[in-house]
Amino acid sequence: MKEYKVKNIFIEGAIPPEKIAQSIANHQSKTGIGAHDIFLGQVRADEIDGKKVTAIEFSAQQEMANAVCHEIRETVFEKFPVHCMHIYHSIGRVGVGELCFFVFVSSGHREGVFESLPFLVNEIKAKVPIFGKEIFEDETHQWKVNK
Amino acid sequence: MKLTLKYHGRLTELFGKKEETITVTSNTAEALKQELEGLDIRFRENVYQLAQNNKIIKGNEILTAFDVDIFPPFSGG
Repeated sequence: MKEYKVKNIFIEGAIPPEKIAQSIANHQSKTGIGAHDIFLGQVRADEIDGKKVTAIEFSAQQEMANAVCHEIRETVFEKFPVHCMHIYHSIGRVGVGELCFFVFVSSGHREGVFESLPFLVNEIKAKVPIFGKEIFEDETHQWKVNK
Repeated sequence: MKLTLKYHGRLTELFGKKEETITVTSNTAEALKQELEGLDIRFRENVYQLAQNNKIIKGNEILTAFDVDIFPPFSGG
């Protein structure tokens, strides 16, 4: 089994769309790759009891989150024919319409990415200690619950 | 033994603090849950998980760390 270094998945604030473009560009030299797939999580303006969400503030046990992502990454490399994989998640405040979660998988062929991406995203949502606080227009809040 | 409980997410608001050090007699994850639930109704009324050394612990797993994370359900993504 290949050994991968524990990476820091966290980015302060929103993930800029330019980072997604740059990540794609960074793979142009990896010519064994024939397929990429990307999941982007965006902050939604949910309306709850008549109040609209304007931002989500994320907190996390960051050391454990990075360690768990490392384990998930190793599982994905074992289970699927994936060449490379990148995971980024926001920490701190992210406004509605902005990106807070970026998962990027690359493989030789489409099957590798189509199969691995949902597994990877679902594992991260289920196992990584990140917590979202939904902030309303009047600065009151409620804690996000994943569906 | 002395154990520092580190609260996360909505539990920081529920307990009004990020961490507290308490004295416990438990030496397994399940025993600690029972002990905490006997000490404070908020543990009985809320869903939470325990972690030590960056790993979720449950059942008969032995407490070895001085710090235990107390997590509400995760809500990243």
